[in-house]
Amino acid sequence: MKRQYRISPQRNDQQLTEAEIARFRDPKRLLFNYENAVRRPKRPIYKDPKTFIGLVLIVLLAMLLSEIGHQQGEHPKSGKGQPEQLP
Amino acid sequence: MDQQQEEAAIRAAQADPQRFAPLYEAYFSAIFRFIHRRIGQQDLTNDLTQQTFLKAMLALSNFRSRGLPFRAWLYRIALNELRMHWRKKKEISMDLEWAQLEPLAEECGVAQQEAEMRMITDGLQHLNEDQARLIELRYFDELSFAELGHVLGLGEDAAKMRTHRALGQLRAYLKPRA
Repeated sequence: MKRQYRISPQRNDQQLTEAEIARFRDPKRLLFNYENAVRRPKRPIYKDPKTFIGLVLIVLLAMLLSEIGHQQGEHPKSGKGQPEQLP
Repeated sequence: MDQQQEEAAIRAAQADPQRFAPLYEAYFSAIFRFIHRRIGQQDLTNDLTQQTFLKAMLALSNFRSRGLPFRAWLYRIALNELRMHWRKKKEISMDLEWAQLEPLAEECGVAQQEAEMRMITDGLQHLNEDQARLIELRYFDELSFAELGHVLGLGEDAAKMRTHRALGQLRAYLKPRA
């Protein structure tokens, strides 16, 4: 990475004044950001292995139950689901 | 803020983050200037300064003074923020004032004239990144060797030795040109 140094052309200090810097000072914003950061879960769910596996199992179980339900709908055991023959 | 007041403020903020304000007020200007010198844009400087203080607040429970001023720890966080910002940049620039270069010119034994000052900045560009950073932190940010070591993750003696070595290289660059 290339570095460059710029010298202020004047001999007088070109530093920002305290009043200029004070415009940016905002402790309320800092506290607000802090509270947001603390409130937010530290790790997203998908990055926590236990929670992630738990979620995958729940989804698989739901799919399995749905599949079973679907198959039972297509092939009923008792034949009650067969359409009655018209005379 | 003297050391006792600082330690009391740190303890209070560690117990209750709502009481971080005195530390923020005490060091905001220093951190803002530190970042602004290396970034130049006020809005971006403000964002990085806020980010520095936010990270400091989040990590404050892990802070142990070990006799070093709190500002050294803040400078370290600020430098990490700057490094993250610089990661995508091919070139970084630093704004310097005449007064900041004077002690370095004196140390290198060159006249405090415009041509010599330009030579110093040319010389700094010829140093490697670590050496240039040592000189920046020591002469432009006016950090003590202990603080400098803390910011760069070195011991005080190592920081002193490496700074002297970097100064030696700078003098060697300047000697045939001055």
